[in-house]
Amino acid sequence: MPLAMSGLILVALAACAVLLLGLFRPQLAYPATQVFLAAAVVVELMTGTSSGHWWGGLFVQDAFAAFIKPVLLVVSMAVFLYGRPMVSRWPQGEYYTLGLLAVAGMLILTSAGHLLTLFLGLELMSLALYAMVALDRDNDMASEAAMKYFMLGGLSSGMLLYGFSLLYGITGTMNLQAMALALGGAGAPGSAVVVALTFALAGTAFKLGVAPFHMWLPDVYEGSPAAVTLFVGAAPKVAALVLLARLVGQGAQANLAIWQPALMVLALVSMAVGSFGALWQQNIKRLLAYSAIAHMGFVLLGALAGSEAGYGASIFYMTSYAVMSTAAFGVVLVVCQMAQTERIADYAGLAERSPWLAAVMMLTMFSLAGVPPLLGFMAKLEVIRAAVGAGAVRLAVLAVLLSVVAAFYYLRVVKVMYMDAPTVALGRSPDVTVPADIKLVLGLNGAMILLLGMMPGHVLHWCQQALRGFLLPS
Amino acid sequence: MMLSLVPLLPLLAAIVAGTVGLKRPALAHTVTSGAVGFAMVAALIVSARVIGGEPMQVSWYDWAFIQGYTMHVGLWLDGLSALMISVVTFVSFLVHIYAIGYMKGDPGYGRFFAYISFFTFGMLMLVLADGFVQLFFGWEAVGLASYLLIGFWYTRPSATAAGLKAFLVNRVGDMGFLLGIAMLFTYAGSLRYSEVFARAAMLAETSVGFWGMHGSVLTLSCLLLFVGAMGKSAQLPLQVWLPDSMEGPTPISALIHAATMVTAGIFMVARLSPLFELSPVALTVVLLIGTLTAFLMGLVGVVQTDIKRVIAYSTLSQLGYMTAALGASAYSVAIFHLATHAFFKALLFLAAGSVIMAMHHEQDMRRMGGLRRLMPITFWTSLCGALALIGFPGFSGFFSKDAILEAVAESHLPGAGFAWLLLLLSVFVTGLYTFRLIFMVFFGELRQQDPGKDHHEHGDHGIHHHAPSESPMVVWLPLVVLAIPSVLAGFLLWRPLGLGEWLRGVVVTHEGSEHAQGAVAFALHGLWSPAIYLAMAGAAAAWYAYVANPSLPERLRQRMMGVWRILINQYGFEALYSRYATAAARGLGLVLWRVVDAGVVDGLVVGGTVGTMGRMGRLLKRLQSGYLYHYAFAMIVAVVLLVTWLDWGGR
Amino acid sequence: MLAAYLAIPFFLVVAAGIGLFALAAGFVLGPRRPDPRKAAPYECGFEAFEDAHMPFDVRYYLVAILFILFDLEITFLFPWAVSLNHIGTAGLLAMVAFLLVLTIGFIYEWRKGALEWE
Repeated sequence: MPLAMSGLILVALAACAVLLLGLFRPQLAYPATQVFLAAAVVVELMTGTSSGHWWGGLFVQDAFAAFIKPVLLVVSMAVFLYGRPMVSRWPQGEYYTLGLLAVAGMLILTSAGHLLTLFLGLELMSLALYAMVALDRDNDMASEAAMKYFMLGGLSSGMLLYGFSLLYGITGTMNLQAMALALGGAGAPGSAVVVALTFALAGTAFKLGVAPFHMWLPDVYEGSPAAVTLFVGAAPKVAALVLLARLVGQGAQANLAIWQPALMVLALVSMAVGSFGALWQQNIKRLLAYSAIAHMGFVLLGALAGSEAGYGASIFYMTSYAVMSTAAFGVVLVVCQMAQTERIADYAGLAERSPWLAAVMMLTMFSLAGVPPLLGFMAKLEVIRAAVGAGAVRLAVLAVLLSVVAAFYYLRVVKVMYMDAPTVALGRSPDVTVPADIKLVLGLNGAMILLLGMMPGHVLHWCQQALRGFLLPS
Repeated sequence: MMLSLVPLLPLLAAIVAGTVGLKRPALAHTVTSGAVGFAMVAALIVSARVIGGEPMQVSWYDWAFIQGYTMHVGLWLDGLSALMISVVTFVSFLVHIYAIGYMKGDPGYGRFFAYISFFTFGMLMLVLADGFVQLFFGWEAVGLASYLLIGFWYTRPSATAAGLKAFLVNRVGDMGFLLGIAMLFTYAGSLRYSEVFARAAMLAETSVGFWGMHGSVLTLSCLLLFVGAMGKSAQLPLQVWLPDSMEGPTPISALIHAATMVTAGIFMVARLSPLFELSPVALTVVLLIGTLTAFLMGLVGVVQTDIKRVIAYSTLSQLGYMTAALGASAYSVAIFHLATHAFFKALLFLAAGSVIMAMHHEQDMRRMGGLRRLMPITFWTSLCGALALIGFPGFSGFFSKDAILEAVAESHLPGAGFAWLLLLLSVFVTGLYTFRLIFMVFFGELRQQDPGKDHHEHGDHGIHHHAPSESPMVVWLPLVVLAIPSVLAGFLLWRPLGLGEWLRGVVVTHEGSEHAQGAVAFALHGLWSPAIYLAMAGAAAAWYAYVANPSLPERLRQRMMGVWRILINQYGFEALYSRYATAAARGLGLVLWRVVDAGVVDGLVVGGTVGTMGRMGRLLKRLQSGYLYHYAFAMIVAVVLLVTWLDWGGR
Repeated sequence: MLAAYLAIPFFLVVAAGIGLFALAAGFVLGPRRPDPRKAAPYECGFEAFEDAHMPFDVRYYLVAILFILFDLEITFLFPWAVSLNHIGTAGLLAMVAFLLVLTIGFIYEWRKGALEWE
């Protein structure tokens, strides 16, 4: 048994333990989850460097996995922290168990060097997410969202599997490394390779929430309870990028000519849909959903370069996005608790009611819009550089223009918070005290957006390091 | 490590004061003064280690990478920056203490402390910069702080206007500064001092031409950089903002607009002395601009009646002296005068603030008088400052100013003789306006006529229109502390700075010039120079006109109305700018706004785009129907289209 | 490459042909004398007394799903038991872990009351 599996095993055990705890001592489910996750972070940091391949690539540990796994775990910890007040009204054991299972799925996916484990991890994560969305059973919106998510997710998994099976049929192997060699050595790829990769990409694009496979995303984001949206919107996105990097970057790196134009189209459509779609939204979660679509387009900008630097930029972008999205949904959650509202108009007067919260939200919005010197700006700069490096200059220019469009709706939120008169929701709401730890972590989250933006050097460096040797020699 | 603390402590304090300290005055001033105090101690310790020894370098992080060039953030401490951080933290600390008393009860108390701590941070980053990027960062940070502080009482239209003016005029300077930096980066390929200096000779030989004119890269970039210095150090013709900046609270005038920020231009030229030294053209320009500023602005000071404005014009004049010293290649002497000036000018400003407080925020000297007996501490410390300013033998200004005069006398640049003459005349003018202030404020009888006219209604200082009395201890203590270096700094710093011992190898210094002698010898030698007699003559003239024969100034004014008008209008610079430059800019702006912006951009570009964007947004909203089968259908269509396109596109 | 798959369309055509042939033969050759009893659904001697689409108790589904779950686990146990000699201790441990997880699930459903009918 490889040492590097310890973190994964710990998380899986945690899921079992928390399920039982939820039955007998529900109030312990949350602290146990956090303790297990914290332990997993420590274990990952300690064992992450012991790299290697096991069982024919079913389990792989490399610098990439060693970087991604702690990120996934830490993001999930923050998400569970923010979600706690809302989750405490639900069956808690189930929420945390499902969350831990999703995390376990992501960890498997991150360490997959094989189509089987890639799919296994992805499905473990997805199934847990579907169930999480439906967890609040009396909520009609959530049930509808869960149904849509599940059905469309099933369709996308089908597409992904179809792509996988074709790839297996073409290359005769499911090991990504061997597949890369087989695909690279076969001369000009036939239509079968195109079809296989397109289907696999379509499935991946669905998980990422990239247009035109994004239709589920606004409905699910809006329909799910905020605590679940928060979860769906952070770590699973990172995992989906991992899927893309492993599958396309490692498995099909020789077929750049096929998937690069596809990614360009997906990136452009996604940025456009995300930027324009959010313009008229009244619900903050829906707005953030479109924002997510646009940001996934930017993530693809880095990935389409197909180089280690490009994936590094993408990973940096995605990590930054996870930080920003967590902060944004964290604030949304607190406001949800405070005023039972998700309407953007109801954020009016937040700056007076709770300057601290409004400041974090403002920082996050500016960062999402890509205002220097915040994190979002640096991330955009990196992916755009990667895209320009790959020769996609026109796409890069369009990306910048579209981000200007997007700035409009982010700034609208800031304007509402700081300049509009409070509406009934916030004005009349009772004083809900925000737990101190949530306040603290939200503050830290905001500070990270600012500080990492001003000194991105280290994180960027880690991202580039993580990708060193990622592309297999072929 | 300790070096990093020097700028970071004030930054942290500014953040604390600006967030949690806004509504907790005691916390705000404790944190900021404490932090700056500690920063001062740390600065003194590291400076002691560096002066005369090896430079110290602290690397923080890599900020950005451009085309393989790494922009680095770190600190660089050598003799020059060591001196600067010591002076900056020292004066800043005293101003923090002073402001506790001066700003008491102001509604923006916490904000004020946050601003000045932020300013201190910016100034420290500026002087500790190891390259142009950080220099520019500090440059802009102090500019921002200055803008915020000039307009601190933002309910007063004149204050906001003055803040805006300072910002705009500095923008003109910054434009040149930025262009200069860009030019150096283009031709030298680096933004670090050491690397640019290493290529200075190469730059001097590279020639650029435009519009049929040719010049060396070095000269052009030095001139551009000097434009930046002209803005920040308020040299002709960009001096107009400094007198107006007196709208800010007095501690600010002392800290920013006298002791530290305005000297940033001087510091910058000294820092870049290896570049300027290679360009006689640039040096000549620097010398002449400085000389003209010193003389012309000193003259304006003679006719001002607002106590702070007199000191402001005096600052302009003294900055002119420093600039002239830079032009004469006497960089360390310029820094010498910068240091002594920082002490005595901060002293004079704080003393003026003390007087203003006592007079219930009255700033017109014609309403003052006789304060000598009522405010003895303020009087005696002011006198120290005044003597230092005019260069009375033994006081700090004497050493530095005489050194400048000597340096200019030795210079061989074209126009150096003229410059020397003018600077010498300025000494007389300095004596005149300085002692005019002293006599008007502290001698004679109190002329406070209309005590109810308290138009700056901010704060309640507990004294209600009774006879002025001495200020509280937090106010007078900094005066006393500053009086000490005002008297002694010249003597003590003579060898390190007057002769440039601390700055050897840091700025360009000249060995073995004839004034390389001890402080006492120099002082004795100075007694033979005409300067001190001119200064005393100025003081005597002030005595004659304002004490012995008080009706004389008014008669003179009537007689020479034309001259007075020219002076009070600052030679028409204001009018020139507001009537022509500003009007032209506003006209252009109007055209751009009405025609280009409202018509072309809003109407066609934005209007059209917004319309399109709105339509696209609505279209997308309609596509998002909420029906599961629509979504599934969209996915399948997308896959089909992608496959078709990729497969055909691949052929 | 596609030639290898030629058997599939061939098979499809033959299968369809045989099916069609059988239907057609019955249609053409068979005698047809319908009466109401013969045309009724569920020609099994009973009167059709109510609608066939009757609602089931939802608890039935729950039990059915749980039954299928455990039923399927058993099908997993059979091949394991047969091959235990070949897969050795690792195989044994794997099944122990599997059954452990299953037991945790079982505890969960029991405790949640999924096994109670009322």
